[in-house]
Amino acid sequence: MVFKSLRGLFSNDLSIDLGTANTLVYVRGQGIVLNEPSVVAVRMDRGPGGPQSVAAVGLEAKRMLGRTPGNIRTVRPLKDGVIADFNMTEAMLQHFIRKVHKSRFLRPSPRVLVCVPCSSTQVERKAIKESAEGAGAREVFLVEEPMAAAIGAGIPVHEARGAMVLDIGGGTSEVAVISLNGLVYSNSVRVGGDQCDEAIINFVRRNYGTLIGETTAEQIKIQIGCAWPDSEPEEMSVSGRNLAEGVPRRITITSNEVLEALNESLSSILDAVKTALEQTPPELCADVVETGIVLTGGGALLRGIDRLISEETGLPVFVADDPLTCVARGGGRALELMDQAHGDVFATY
Amino acid sequence: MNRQQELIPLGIGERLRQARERRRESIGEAAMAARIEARVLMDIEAERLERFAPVYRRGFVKRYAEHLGLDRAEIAQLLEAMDDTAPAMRTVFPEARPLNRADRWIRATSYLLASLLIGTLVWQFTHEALRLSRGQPAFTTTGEGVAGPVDPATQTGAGAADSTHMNASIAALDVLREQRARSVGAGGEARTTPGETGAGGAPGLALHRLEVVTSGDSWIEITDRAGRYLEQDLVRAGTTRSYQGEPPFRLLFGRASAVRVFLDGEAVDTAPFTLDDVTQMVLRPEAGAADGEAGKSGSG
Repeated sequence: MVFKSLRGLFSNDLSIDLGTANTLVYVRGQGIVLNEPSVVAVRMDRGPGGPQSVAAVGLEAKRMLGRTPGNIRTVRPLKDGVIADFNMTEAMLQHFIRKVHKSRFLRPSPRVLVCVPCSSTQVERKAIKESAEGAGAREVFLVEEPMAAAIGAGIPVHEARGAMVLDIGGGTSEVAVISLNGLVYSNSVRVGGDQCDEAIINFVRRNYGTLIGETTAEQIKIQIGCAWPDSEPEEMSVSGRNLAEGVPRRITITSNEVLEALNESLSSILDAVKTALEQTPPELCADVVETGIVLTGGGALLRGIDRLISEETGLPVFVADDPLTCVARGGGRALELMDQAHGDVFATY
Repeated sequence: MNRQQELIPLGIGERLRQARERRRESIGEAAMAARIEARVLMDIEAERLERFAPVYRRGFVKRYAEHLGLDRAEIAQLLEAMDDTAPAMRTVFPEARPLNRADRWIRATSYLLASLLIGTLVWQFTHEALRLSRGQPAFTTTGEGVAGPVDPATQTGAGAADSTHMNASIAALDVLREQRARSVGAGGEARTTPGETGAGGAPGLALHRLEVVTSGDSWIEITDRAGRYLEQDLVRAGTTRSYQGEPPFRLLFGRASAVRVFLDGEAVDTAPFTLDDVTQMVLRPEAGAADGEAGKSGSG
């Protein structure tokens, strides 16, 4: 305990956006210093039942995704915003915490704020907390993702005025109405970037008889993905394995086809937003009608998603500046605000 | 420059109003199409958006400009003009900040202090361990009425030292307890051979020998002239213990009927000083009995 506090003197406070797709680390006073995929490569030298060792973490591990030999397995330790593999999450966090403290000779023991999905259960939250503690954190705070996203987007959460935020992440989409530093309404649907990638894979297999990988599907989504029909559709050429012939083939896919593939996932997100509007108390609803909805998370970068939600709800919809890093930045800011207020005003348990 | 001008650079509202008028749209029509409330549009054109946070101000202007068909370059220009007053965003992936001189000194001093602290702790632990391994007691206390090891030899020798310093760890206390048990055991054996003990005692110091024989478990407290405890323990049945010290002795037996006392080999009658099977008395050799205080407690 004493040594932990001593080590704490030489550690920086961290805010971690432990996302399904990417993990971002915000270091207090420095900004976002790490943005790497939440992927761990595990080496199993003596077969599946034998001892495991971490071969690579983050960007390096993601490059291995789908390209590994038999003795290396790539794992995504988080699924749908929550921990699916406890040990791998701990190893990944340990790696990231050490990476952002690499010039220190003492093992770092920082205060860590971790952002959790608002619909995560107590068990899932405890797993995340223990994981961070296992990775060397001195003190762990949990903040709900929509709250962190709103703070990161610059929404004045302390005001007695309703603000709606929609955070579309890798595994989950979270919608929340915030007022006076608290969540008045929050809901989370397990639809996000990963489900969109899966939908694209299924669409290509169904319509072109070709199997593409997760990485290729993600590239398609990022480059030509859209949520509102383009007047001038874009095209992209990708390679996959033809299921009938069993040989690699190149296919060309258009942005409107991607829109068709994403239709179901987008509908789920829209339903969640509409439900949130229905459930919001009338006073706050009036505020939301005026100020609209702020989009954060990687999903906000999907072209035309603001237009789609705006047309469907009749509200103004804006994409926050740098939506990918909103949650991590908001977490860091929340940590600062908690210190100023001498209390964990945003923390959840 | 007033506050309003700081929030939105002059001219943005005017440019947007002109663009709307060129399209021959009313505020209501524009509000319907852009999905922004009409009063917000009026505020934008009048450059009165201070009640909104920057994220909303930028969002409204961008959305309205897109609706009015302004080209991307023009919108970017508008937003850039607003950026002057927007709070600075943290850079992503900042370059490592080089340490300045003050930082280096603070860090070096912290390392030094931490090393000193750790060094002191290590030295203290090793020093303590060495002392224990040499068989020295972990603490010596010879203050008034403070319990020390019940070893007559130690008391006569080390009793002169007047140290009030107490420095004992839990481990040291354990060792001390063992030493005490050993010394009491050794003392007990020695006391069963009174000849040796009597010969060993220094006659010049006017020491007297007190012997206690128990036939049942009893709490026994014996203090000498200086108030030092010669015994303070629950003594088991069938134990014979002898003590040497300077009289008068103050005696307290918890179960008096089970204790017999001998002063220099002569039995002492404790009955007059016993009440409810508890004896409290002060024993003086010349009188062979107790003084007034004990008498009072005995008669009371």
